[in-house]
Amino acid sequence: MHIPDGYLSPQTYAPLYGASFIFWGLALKRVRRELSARQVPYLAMAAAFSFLIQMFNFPAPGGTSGHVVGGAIIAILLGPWTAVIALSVVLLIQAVVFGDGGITALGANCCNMAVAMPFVSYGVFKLVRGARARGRRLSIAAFLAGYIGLCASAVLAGVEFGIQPLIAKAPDGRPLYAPYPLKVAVPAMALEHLFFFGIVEGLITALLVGYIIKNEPALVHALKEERQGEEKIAGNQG
Amino acid sequence: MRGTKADGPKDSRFQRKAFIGLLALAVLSPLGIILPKVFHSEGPFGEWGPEYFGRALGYVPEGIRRGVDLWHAPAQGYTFLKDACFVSQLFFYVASGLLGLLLAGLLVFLLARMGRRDER
Repeated sequence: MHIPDGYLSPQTYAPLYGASFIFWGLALKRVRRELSARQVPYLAMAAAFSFLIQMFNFPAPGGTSGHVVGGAIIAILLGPWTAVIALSVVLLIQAVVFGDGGITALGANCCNMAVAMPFVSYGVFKLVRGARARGRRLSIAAFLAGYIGLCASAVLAGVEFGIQPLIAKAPDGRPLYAPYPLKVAVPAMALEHLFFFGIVEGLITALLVGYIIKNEPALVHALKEERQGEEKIAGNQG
Repeated sequence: MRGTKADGPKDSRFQRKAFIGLLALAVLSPLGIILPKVFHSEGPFGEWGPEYFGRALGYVPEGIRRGVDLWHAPAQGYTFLKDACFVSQLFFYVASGLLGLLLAGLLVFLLARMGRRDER
């Protein structure tokens, strides 16, 4: 899902850079306000985790390969804004040091994987989990958060690829950038994530979120609001 | 909220466990190049090199041809020597993982600290 340089026209990557800048600015502001000193090491570990988990390319049926992102886990554990920072840092390192994803496409890749994914995942998790659910409902919520988050991000990348032939053609009619139209690029990106990588992302999210909620619930951002609610109730009673 | 709790023993115990987990991921990461090789899988959709388009379309789109030379990453493709044998690539892959772990952790740490210094 790491779009390389040259696949996107400037008409596509420039606005997506702009959108990313807005989210980076907002995220930095929020993280500086809300992140406690105690959470900083976890943020660093979250970024390292996402980087490492993305190195595990595995083969998918159909002959392609791919990897999970870990965006849902970070969004649930540290909050979606913090996830924007962690995942953007990972994408920046991948592009600059390892040539994974283009420099011009960094804004697009951040929009897909570092913005859309954590917010979609976080929203799905909150929605499905409902009020204070534990056990199976929580696992399902975490699974769907990873699954839908990754698929959403893949579909976005598919749309960005697919609109290129509409945007720019050489005088001889050949596409200048990513050559496949929407009806090829979107299904290609969507299907392998819907049927394969999304499921793996969902399973890993459910496993890790379940483990950490069980063992270190105090760390989990998604539980923070209800924790504060409980403290208030306890305070009123005391 | 900020910094109200010092790192308790529970925190550091969990952090140690998590850090060992990260190191384990780095050591196991070569699976990420072994498995696709065993199953002869191609790369992901949309991450092809220009030679793919030569084969698939008979030409390389102009933008993609130019895009290749836009940036030469120091460890392009998670390796440090392009023509090294597969076994060396496995070691480079682990080294890339450790380098990424270090850089990601460091950058995030700096970003978070920068914010707090502003506040003082």
